[in-house]
Amino acid sequence: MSEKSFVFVVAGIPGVFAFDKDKEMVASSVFPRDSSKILDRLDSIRDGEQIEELREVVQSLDTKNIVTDIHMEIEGYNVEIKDSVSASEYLEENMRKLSLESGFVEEDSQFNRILRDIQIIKTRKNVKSSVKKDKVVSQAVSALQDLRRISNELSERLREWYGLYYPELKVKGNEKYTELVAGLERREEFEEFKGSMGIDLDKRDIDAVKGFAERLDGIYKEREELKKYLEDVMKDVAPNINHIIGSEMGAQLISLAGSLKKLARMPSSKIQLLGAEKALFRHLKGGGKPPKYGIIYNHPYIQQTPEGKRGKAARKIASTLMMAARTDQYTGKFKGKKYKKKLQRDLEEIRNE
Amino acid sequence: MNEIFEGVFKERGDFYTKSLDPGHKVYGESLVKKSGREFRKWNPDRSKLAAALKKGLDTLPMKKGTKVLYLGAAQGTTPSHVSDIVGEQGIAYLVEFSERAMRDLLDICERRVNMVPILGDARKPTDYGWVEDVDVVYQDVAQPDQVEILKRNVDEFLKDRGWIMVSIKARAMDVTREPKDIYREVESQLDGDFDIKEILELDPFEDDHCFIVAQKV
Ligand SMILES: C[S@@+](CC[C@H](N)C(=O)[O-])C[C@H]1O[C@@H](n2cnc3c(N)ncnc32)[C@H](O)[C@@H]1O
Repeated sequence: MSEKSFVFVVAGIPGVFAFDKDKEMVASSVFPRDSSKILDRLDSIRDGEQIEELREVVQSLDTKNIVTDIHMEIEGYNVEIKDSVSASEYLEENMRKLSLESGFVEEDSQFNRILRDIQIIKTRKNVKSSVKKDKVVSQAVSALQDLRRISNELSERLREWYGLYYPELKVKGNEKYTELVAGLERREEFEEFKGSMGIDLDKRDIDAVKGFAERLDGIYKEREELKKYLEDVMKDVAPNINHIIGSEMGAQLISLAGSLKKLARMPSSKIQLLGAEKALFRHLKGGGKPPKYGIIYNHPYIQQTPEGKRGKAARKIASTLMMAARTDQYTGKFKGKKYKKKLQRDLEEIRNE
Repeated sequence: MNEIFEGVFKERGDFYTKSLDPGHKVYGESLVKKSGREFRKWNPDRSKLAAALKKGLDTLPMKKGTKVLYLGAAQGTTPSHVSDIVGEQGIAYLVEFSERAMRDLLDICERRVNMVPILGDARKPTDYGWVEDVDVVYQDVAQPDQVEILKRNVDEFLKDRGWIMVSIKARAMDVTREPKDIYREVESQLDGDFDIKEILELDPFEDDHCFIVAQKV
């Protein structure tokens, strides 16, 4: 076909267009200026229907050779269908200009309005299905805890293993230690190296432990990514809980409750004990003291409160969380800042009582 | 009312924009009628751009007809004022990845013809590659990798000699470092690609934030 003349036929928001090989517009048939009709037309084209605008453009051509990314078969025409054609990109990049030139719109503000309307329709479709993300939160926080447990375990192994070779390496923090070991070939390369009591290892032995450290380093990186991800999703799913108690503990509470909805229906006395089920069970079976708090015990809020006042502090936190959960579940408004300020004031008071 | 920039007004120390949607509030701001026109008070405690104006911003590269790509539109507080400024001939493409925020944002877009919502991740500009080239990339995402996010969008969408307006939240980038260090680092990351016109700290309206206006070289 390359010898003969041909035209591109492509479609976009303004309508159906034909361009010659220099991207000069040779024909067009515009859509009505109505966003839902436009979306219908584009859907029909995608489904292989020969809509009116398409037929109109094709019939007005003075060549029978068409190159296109639209699935069409037209009697009497030689159609080459490709996955993508440069003219589609051209249309996308010059959509505003072509909309004006083809008479699809008369001025910029009309074009703006249609673009906006189309985006609103598309976006509404996508946000509708998003409320059920609390299941995702539960999985993500469990995965995060798995990674934490596993990386701790593997770090201990790494310290023992590498310790055979270079026991003098003292680094605070497993993550840092792992990164160092993964990054260097031999103990002599460490800045602080001043000889070692460790056993000599040959390259093969060192490569093995270093490879292990590299994998572990990857796990630490993954953990950081997952943390960021959880933070993002929590801001979306439960912005109020997230603001008050942080993404990880907030997600754990949702996970322990079973869902945001279940959490929102719990009385605060129950929220306070989430995560203490085992101790509660022991107590009910006649052993042990009744637990005063579940996982919220681990929060700095409680840790900063003197022993004797922690029960009271836990009650305050739980009741604030209850309000936050209800707001997240039922209205979705963000009132986290207000809740948090009040909580901090109340806790301050309890500490100073 | 003094018009201090095209579309931005000042009276007794407060800033206003002329409402594109008279009679309606977006975030509880007060509405003021003057000689048949309605103005929306621009709250510096709620909008970092208003805070920057309060702190003496001299360069506002937006006026009627400006095309803006806005990253991190949230519930539309600042975008609604941008919408007032650029008017019906201008357009604001609003990228926001939080579905919850998007639900509120959509209600505002319904009322304002120049606000185009995009549910998407600003880290992946090719996901909204259909957006046309713009005069301004405005960014307020509060992410540790925000400079990288900005650059990707600039490469994809910003016209030659176009502008960036960026809010930097130091604590989102690195809690362990001094905000001033972070600002300086951001500055050096932008240097070369941009001519930095202004860099303002936003206290007392926002702690540990700064606002940068720069032009692509
Ligand atoms: C500080 S708020 C923006 C407030 C808004 N600019 C205003 O002044 O009204 C930051 C927003 O950026 C959004 N955001 C963060 N990272 C993002 C990303 N990668 N892509 C899209 N939106 C993002 C958040 O969901 C949040 O709504």
